[in-house]
Amino acid sequence: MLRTSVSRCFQATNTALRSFSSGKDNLPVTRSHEAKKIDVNDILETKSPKVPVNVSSDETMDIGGVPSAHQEARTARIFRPAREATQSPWGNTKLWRIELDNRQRWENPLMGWSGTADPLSNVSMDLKFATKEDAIAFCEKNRWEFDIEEPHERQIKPKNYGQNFAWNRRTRIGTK
Amino acid sequence: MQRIVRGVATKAQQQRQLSAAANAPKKVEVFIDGKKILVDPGMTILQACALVGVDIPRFCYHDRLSIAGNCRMCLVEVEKSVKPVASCAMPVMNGMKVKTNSDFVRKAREGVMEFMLNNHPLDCPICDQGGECDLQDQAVAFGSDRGRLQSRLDGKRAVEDKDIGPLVKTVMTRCIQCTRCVRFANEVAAFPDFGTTGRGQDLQIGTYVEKFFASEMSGNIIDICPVGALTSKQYAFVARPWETRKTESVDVLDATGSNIVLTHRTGELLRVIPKINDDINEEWIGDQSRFAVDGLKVQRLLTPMIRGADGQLKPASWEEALFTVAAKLRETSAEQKAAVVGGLNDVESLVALKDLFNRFNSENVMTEEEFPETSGGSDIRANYIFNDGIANVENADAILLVGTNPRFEAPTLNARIRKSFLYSDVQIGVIGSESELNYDYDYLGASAKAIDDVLSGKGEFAKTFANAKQPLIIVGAQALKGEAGAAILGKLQQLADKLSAGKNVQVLNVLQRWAGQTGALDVGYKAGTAALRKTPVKFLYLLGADEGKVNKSNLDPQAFIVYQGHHGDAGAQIADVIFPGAAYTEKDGTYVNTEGRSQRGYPAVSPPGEARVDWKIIRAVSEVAGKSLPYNDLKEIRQRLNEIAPHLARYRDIEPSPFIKQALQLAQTSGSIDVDVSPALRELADYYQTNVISRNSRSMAQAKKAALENKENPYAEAPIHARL
Repeated sequence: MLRTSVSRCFQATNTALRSFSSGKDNLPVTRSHEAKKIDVNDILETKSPKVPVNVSSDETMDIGGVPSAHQEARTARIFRPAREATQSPWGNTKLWRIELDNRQRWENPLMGWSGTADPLSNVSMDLKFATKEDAIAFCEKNRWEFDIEEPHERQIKPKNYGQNFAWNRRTRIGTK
Repeated sequence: MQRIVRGVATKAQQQRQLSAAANAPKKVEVFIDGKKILVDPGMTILQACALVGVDIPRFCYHDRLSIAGNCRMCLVEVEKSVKPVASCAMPVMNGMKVKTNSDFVRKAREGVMEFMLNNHPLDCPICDQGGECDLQDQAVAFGSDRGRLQSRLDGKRAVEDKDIGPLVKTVMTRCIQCTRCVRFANEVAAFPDFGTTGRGQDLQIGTYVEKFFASEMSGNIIDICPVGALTSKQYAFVARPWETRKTESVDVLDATGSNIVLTHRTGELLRVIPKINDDINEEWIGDQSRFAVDGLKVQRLLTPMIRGADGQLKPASWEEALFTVAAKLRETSAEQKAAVVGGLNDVESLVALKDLFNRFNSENVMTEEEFPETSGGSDIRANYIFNDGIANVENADAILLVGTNPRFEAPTLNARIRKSFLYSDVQIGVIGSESELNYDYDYLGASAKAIDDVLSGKGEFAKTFANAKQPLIIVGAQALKGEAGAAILGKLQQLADKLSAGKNVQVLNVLQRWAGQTGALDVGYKAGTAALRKTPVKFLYLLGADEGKVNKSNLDPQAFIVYQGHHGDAGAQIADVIFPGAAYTEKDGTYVNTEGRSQRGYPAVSPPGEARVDWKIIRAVSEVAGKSLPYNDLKEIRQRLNEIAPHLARYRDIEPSPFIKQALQLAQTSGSIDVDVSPALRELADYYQTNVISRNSRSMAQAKKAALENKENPYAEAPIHARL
């Protein structure tokens, strides 16, 4: 209702403007005394209570346009990476990661750049989760099948410098 | 009166507390950055920090090597101590208050780092360690933004590079003398030639007289080197770590199923490094597992092939090849069909092949590797797996090795035996060949009849073995073949039964040689190709069988041979049709290691050319032959695996094998066991090329050559066994 009245008002102004621009004789006429004051509640419809719209993640996936080849057809591996044998710090082993099944990659013959037809091939690079449950929830939301791989926990066995000189060692070959 | 009563109560309480303390090891209270933690006494500060998740920077300290304490990077502040303390070597004390990140500590580390960088070249842009270098990372985190070195006046230290063989590249100027490699060589690899010469700035790492790093584990010094002094020759100038992708997978080049990380880029496999797994390979892998992957790029079967009328193999389309094979499969009668599988196959393809043959009423599926049929044979699982588990080798106090050379058949397992040898009183006896095993042992003879002596308690080793709390017999799968093999197995079962009474050990452990063998026996393959020789077959399906156990003379003259596999080797040579398959780095696969632990391998790259994943090829054959197998994707075939043997789907865990007593009842103990059980792999040169992948590997061929030349080297050190 409000919209119709506003648009009518615009139409009026438009004709007025057109006439204004077309010539100096037809000046716009304002007839404010003819205007009727309308209460705002008459224009607005009756208030309905606010209800949050429940859009399940299922529904977002349904309408999201992700092809099914990248939903159920994909399998994710949920794991915590092992410490890299080439370096000593353990920092990268604390968060859970997701890695989707590996698809074919190729090298661009001109520039040597890497290419793939898999839009999700880089998902594993930035997705990190504080807990396994978070990772599972993410996989469920994206409708990926998933396997969970429990990490091999670090074992810390006490050792000390004195063992270098212990008499119960078979060989006492110096280490330096 | 009241006072006395109270006094008595307190005493009782005290006693209770004392007895509780006596049962539990007394923990030591330490404060790390204000955080309280109770740790075992005898631990170092660095380990206590690790327990609360504080990583102390370090170069020389390594979790699996002895403590050296020479890099001084791990300095921390300990309250009431005037000087900074090297946390890697300092044991914890009760009430110790440690600060790991105070100004004092940072200043100390900055000083250490400045000295370190004074003698380190600025060649990061051309260094292979760049991007995964501990020195680089720690210089950023703890170093100063300027140094005081006047290189114009003082000059930079430069050291001549050493030649230690075709596998490890050395750039000794980059060395920071952490001595990790020296400790690894002495403790784990048992290569005592590696050491240091000189003092202070002139200290150099090397073999003194130039020689080959003669060890089957030499590649691990590349990983433990915190800088780029020791790098991989194969991987030199190939890639940076940030541009590669990593896939955690399983190794198939020996039967232990070492965990590995495959590094790849643009669909090309670049290198293999170990993945830490304390149950299997700790942090090491053998050189074959690490370097043989260059063999995956040569001599590959890229397209299906059919042997033409002129006797030449010609490329064909998948349709032609599949229809040719399916037609032959249909027209051959059930008893004239057979399948032989090699040792590198995943369980998925093994199951698919067996299902295919079963559909055609044939049960003639067998492995190349032999195992006795009698004496329970492969019907009882406890007979053919490593019952006690690899990790338990460390707890054993007496080990008997029969017909095996674990140093070359399972290098990481051998490293555990060596560890146990160094740090405990383990007694080791060997029946087989008297070769260098990295530890001292009692040699009991080449003939298996020495088992009788051990059984009857004759000889010194037999006595210690009988009295051991945790005895362990490791028998090589190679010794268990034919009639004598059955008798040897029977005798060992008897011995194991005698020794395991009242102990929590199974004692008898079979060390397989092939990664696919345990899986094949688990799903019901017959061991050995003897059946093939009894009735000549007309249709033979070889699945990665390349060890030459089957040749044309064993078969009907008109026999039709199909070979499916990844390399053109012995199997492809005799084939009429070739299906190009995928190698272990190219497919999802389940592998059961010698302990009976099922593990999953993941594909890093895709199969080259027209090659396809193996179980899918077999599935396609079944469809064309008119008897489709009921699985279409990986999930469904894994479901089928689960139906056959549920342990195949319970990854990571060992499936224990009961019925060891029943196996003993079936044991065949009669028959002569006076046979030579010397293993085939006796010296280092034998180790490098044992399977179809490593036979095609250039670096493995070079290493073999270096090992052979090293034998002629007059400066090569005498083996430990001869020295002790």
